[in-house]
Amino acid sequence: MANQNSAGTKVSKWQLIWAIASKDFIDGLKRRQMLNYILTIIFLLALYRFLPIIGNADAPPLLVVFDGGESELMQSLELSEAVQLRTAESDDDLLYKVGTEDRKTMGLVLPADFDQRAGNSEAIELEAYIDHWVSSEDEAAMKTGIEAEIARLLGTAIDLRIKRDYLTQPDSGFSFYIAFGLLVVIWIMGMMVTPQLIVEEKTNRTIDALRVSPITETELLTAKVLVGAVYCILMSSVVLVVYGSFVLHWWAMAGAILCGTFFIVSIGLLLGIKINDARHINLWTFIIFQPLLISMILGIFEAVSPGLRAAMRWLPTVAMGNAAAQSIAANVDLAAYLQSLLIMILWGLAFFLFDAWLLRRMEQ
Amino acid sequence: MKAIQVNDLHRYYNGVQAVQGVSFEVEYGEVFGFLGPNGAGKSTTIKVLTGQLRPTSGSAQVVGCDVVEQRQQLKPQIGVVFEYQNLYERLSAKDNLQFSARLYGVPRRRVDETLEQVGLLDRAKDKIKTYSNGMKQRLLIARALLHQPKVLFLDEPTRGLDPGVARGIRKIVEQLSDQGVTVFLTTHYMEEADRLSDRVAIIHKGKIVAMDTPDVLKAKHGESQNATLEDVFIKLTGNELY
Repeated sequence: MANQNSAGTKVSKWQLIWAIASKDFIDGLKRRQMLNYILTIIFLLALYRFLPIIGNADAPPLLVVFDGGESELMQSLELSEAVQLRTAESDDDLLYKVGTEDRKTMGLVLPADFDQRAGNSEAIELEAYIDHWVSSEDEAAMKTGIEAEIARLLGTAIDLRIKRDYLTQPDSGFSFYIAFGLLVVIWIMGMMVTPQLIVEEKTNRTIDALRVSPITETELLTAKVLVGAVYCILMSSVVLVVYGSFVLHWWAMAGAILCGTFFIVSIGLLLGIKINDARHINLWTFIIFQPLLISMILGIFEAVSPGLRAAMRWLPTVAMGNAAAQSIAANVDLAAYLQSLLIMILWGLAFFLFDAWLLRRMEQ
Repeated sequence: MKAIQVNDLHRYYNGVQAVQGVSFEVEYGEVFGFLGPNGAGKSTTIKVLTGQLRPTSGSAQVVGCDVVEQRQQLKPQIGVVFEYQNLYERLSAKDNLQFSARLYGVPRRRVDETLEQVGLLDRAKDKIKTYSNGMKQRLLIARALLHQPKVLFLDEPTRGLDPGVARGIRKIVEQLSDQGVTVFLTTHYMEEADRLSDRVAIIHKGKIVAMDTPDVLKAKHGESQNATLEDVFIKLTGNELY
């Protein structure tokens, strides 16, 4: 459908949407608040990314060991100050534990005849696992340090054969950090910037000029969603610069960001339509964020009952966290992933349609 | 076909009947003055005629388009100068008009032509926040004229402006009238209405109490030969003007 002016020129729906969106995008960059938001996001990202590392800076390397027999080395390792020991019940448990740690961790398998081989004073080869995202330098440092410590404890040289693998689990600490970081970034941009796009039009009453122009309310909202989404996606890319090395399935991450953005920007528009004073935006953003954030955090606690967890999966922020977590897992659970996307899309669509209805009846 | 045709228009607004059974017609090329005290229903009528408000009952057609059923077809054919200065303050005058040009599918060269028409071409690249009230008002008119509308709605276009600037705005309206543009004008300034309007309607408490050419109204309702439109207005509405 196209509108026709007095001169007979036709303007398509998408030209109208693009006209509003490009105006808003450029105008938005001129806002002083935008710089504040960007700096806040970068600060938060730096905090979340480096806090675990700072906290563990002086800690010894984490070693998860599956002992196939009953090796005496385990007792020595427990007393060692050069490594921090965790035990695994099986091969699978070892891989799971390495993949859920939120810091650099090595998994080690001690074969059933380990003590016997150590007693023969022959050089021993052991299988060790490191997650795919650990850098080569860190891998080399951990290998050297752990080989030296075990050699000291045993009095025998050992050689670690390291397998780098995709071990990161959807419920790992890093998965949560990434999902949480994305949520915060998209939330800040979507909930603080998007409402401004409408509130400012109302405050300056430029919305009245738009209402008598050829654009419809739905086209206006679509343009605002696009602008909010572009800001969210641009800032999400900053998250991915910081956390990108963990992502294995970029298509899954892109889907999580796009659907999460749609949902959050649609709520942002609702705020923009209902609020008349820009100073109230931050307060309402904070209030709405609480239950959605808490549910996301609760989702990672095993103490939460399975029924409640299942119910919380239908919350859009939890769905976003789940979808983002899939992108860093070795194997994507496609059904669970698509369900998460669908939940976000449905929530976003519901809010968008409600926004359009509200805007249409705002004056009428 | 009339440029504007209004039949028995009613509109309730926040529990108050702002417009009560208003009917009138405006010919193409006519300058129609719509006068009334504050709260008389002028702005509500303009909002209905420009598709911003739905009438509670009655009907209105502008350039042959029903303001409710054919709102989207109507929009590109009208221009509106609001009673407040609703411009994008962080953008330049040119950017403001280029934005409107894109909404209406108007060629870019038309932006400069319109800016020249209102005498702002030399300040086109300046941000709106550096503009005086008079310049902003001229830019609002430029924005409304950009797509060459068939009907131009001017809501209090000279309110709060310096006499010199107001005179400039009136001159633009006269030029538009000469070019055959239909103008629907609301104003508090009776002298302005008298000078610019081919016909005027006086609305009071939501009802039109008189409608004719300024000369006929003065002759019919004036108490002396030298009666002004202001005298007629005060007599019919019982309101002081300011």
